[in-house]
Amino acid sequence: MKEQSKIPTSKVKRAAKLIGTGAKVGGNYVKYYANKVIGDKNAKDKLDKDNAEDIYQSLSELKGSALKMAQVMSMDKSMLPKAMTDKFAQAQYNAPPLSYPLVVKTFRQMFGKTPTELFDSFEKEAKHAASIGQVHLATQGDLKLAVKVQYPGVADSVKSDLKLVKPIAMQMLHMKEKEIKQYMQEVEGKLLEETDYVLELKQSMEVASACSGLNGVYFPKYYPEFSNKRVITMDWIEGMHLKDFLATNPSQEIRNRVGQRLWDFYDYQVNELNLIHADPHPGNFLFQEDGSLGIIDFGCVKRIPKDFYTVYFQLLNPTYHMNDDKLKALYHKLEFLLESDDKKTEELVFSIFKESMDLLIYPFTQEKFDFADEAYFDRIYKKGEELSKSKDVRKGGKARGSRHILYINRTYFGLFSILHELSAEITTTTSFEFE
Amino acid sequence: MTDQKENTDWKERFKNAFVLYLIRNGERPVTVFKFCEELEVDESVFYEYYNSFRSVEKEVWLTFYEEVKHALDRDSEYSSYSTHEKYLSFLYTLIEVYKQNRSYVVLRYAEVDRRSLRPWFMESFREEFAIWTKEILDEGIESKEIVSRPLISSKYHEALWVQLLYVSRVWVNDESEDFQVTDAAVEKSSALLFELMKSGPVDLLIDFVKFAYQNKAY
Repeated sequence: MKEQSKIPTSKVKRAAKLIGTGAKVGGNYVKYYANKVIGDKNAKDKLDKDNAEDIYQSLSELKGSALKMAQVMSMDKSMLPKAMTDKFAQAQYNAPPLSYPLVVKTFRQMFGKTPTELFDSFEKEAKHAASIGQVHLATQGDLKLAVKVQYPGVADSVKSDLKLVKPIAMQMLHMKEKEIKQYMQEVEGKLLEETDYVLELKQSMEVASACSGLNGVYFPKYYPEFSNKRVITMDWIEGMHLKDFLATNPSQEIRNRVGQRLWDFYDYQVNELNLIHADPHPGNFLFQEDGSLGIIDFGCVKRIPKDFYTVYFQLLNPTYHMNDDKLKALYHKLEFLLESDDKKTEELVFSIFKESMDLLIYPFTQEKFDFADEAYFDRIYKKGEELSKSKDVRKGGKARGSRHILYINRTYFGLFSILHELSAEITTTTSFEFE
Repeated sequence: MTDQKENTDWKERFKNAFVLYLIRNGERPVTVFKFCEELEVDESVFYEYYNSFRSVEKEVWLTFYEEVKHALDRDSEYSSYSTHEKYLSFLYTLIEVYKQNRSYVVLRYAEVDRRSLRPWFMESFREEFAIWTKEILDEGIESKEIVSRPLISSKYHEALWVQLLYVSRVWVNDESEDFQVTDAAVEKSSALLFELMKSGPVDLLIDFVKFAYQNKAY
């Protein structure tokens, strides 16, 4: 496992990093007053912009749950500029690998046996890091197994990370503690769920069996008898990570096929199961040369409440987009627009949301969409950058939109990025039934 | 033969009864005489094995050490471990042994000063531990896992001892589920120590400074 010296890992360092931001923001105020003294009328705008940039910069250097938090939150507020998504792609709890004696200890504690007693063979060295643990290769009879072992104390560190990031998130989104609370709870809840291996096992088995009818996607078999709150055992799945898959130069036909399968997998989950695999991290998909797709890691599953589902996906309804009044009514239902907004704010927020929404749902409104379209993604990134630095958005920084949106948008954004990297052209139909 | 067995029995019985008394009452029996009276044995039998309550406790801790060593020696994989892994196994097993005796260990640690590096009850434990750590450290030096440095490397085992005390204290105060904080403390502090004992930038720095100084290349 690679070490990354650039990104601060220890809590102390993370704290130092955040304090650094605070100091910088403080510095910006000094500049602000200096500018004001010399009579710069734009001083306030400049201050907002400087602050936004510094906070942004500093968040982009964080990692771990703090980063995930920032990632999820900012994905809702605006789409992310390209430079940041690159950094997010590396977002992991980058703890040093667990020592083998600790793995043995964990097994003793959980199974009453050492790994080599439990399995026919067990590799001492971890194969790769999972988000909050590491994966070992084991065999049992003819079976090749992936055994995921969790780092100790992960749940606690998630909690302390979130405490660290909260004030920054508040400042970044210009929200009061009361307003940001529902989002923080959503994210904290999901992050803590990810540390719950018992739940993950249950969800994995549930989704895998519900999706077993889908063509061209496959899931590992899970072994409850070799799993518990610190360990999950599943079949070792063959396949390449996205980068390696792309390096084999798959034909356009294969790219399209695999992209289509990915799309259909998500469409099926959303519309038939009302839940989604909400961690579309490239490491969770394993590609094979024939275009079949292995899917792992159901630690982060977002369940979509029915009443929210029926309203939210109306955003994709083309008839609404022809009609601003209908759309406004929908935005009110979704709490993008609030009763308390005055006329001017309403117009401003409406236009901002409509612009970014139109961009986001564009692929859905087409029969077929080519995700290789650079121009489309550039527009998304530009919009994101613009929004993240726009003082209008920051000023209007009230809590808008239901908490459920966070993970749904994050998922679709992740899906879009993967499809973009695949350069897949696919049929972007959705089985959602419009009113 | 029977005599021999009875001997160890009494040695064991005194030890167990004493620990039990301690965790029940939170303090020692008033006198050896009173203690033996309750066990219905003459106090002279006690003095055959121990010369004071303190020596009983030293024996208790020595037993902890022996239990750990015994568990390690029985493990089939242990002998193939690196020094770092052997040492980690020791600590993790020690924590397991502690767990069987939590009330007692917590009680004892409550009365030692945080800065104390030589808790009296661990005296025999420490002596044995030092012998063992020197042994595995030598193995590590031989296999190049650890670098031998003049003056410093003879003190490596002291560092491990300080870490053991640190880990023990963390465990005594650990309120997390399954003592996960202790696990993390063991992992991280050992990783740091063994990283420092490895050949690294520090050695290059010393080497360079030495060169610069000797050749006046500055």
